[in-house]
Amino acid sequence: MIRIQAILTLLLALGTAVYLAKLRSTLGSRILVLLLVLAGFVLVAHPSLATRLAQALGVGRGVDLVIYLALLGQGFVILMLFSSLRAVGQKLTAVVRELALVTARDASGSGKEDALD
Amino acid sequence: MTTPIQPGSIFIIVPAYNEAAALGRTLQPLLDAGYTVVAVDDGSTDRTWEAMGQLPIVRLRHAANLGQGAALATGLVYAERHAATAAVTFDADGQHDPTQIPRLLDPIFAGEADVVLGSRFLDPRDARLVPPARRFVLKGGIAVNGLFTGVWLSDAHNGFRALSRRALEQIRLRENGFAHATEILEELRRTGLRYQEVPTRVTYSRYSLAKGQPSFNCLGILFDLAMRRVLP
Repeated sequence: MIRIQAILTLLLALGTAVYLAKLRSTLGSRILVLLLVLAGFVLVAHPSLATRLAQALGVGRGVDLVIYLALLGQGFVILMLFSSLRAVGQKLTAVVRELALVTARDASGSGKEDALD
Repeated sequence: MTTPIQPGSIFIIVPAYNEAAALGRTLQPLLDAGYTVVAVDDGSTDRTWEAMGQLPIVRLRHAANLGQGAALATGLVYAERHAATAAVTFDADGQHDPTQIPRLLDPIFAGEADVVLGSRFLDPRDARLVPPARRFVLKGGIAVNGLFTGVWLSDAHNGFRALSRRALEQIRLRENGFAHATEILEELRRTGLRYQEVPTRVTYSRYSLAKGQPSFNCLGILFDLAMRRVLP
């Protein structure tokens, strides 16, 4: 095993450990991540496999195939992050709206706002 | 045709963001007509909230700036919860004509529509008031709305609309930004509510043009609409 293989294997293992220990996720996500990590381990251990796959797909170099797949993966992650940002935004909207409604001041100037101050 | 209803049961929803300068001038004619004015301060950083307090209106305040769509939705929820017979959405910058509110309400109280949408392009005299650049963008907006929702109208993003009690109960807006104007059309399709367009005038002033959405905002609206399709 050359040095870069050892480093990549270690980083993959560390990243997986942090993901499993710290981040809340569904069983489906965990299985998906573990499959991707497994594929990562295999490609790190057998780089020629990536080259063979790349040539079979007409890409050429294995590293190019890995970069293309990584870019696709990043796009997917960005979409997921945007989705969760949107969900958080919707929750924030609901809170701000409800607060506005319960603290509404009517035409006479009275309302519940003071009670919440 | 006149509208045989109590003006106080009609809620005029006015979203406002940093509109302290124009608010009194915009709202006074609505109050003079006897409507219930519900102004929503969308997290303004000027004295909009204090300016609202000078008037006998219902005022609601967003603790943070969320966007025009969110402010409108808050006002509409308030109207629904407080037994409004109908609601009219009205811009705070003074570009809508309060004397045209009855023509928006008439189809609702005649039982012909649940949502009435103002249009700048049904009457050539109103269309001539629209600046050419704005007209060009709006024509694009009409096409986008039609393609996204299947609802083809003569105008797009006209904030002058009326909603019946039934529409208040059924329409739910989730888009905080300007994409809410397209979302309303999607809601029309989803709910099957009846709708009509009526000619309304928009008076553009230097102030309203400065306050209104810039033309390049249409790109952001397109992005929001696309994301709305892709994401839950």
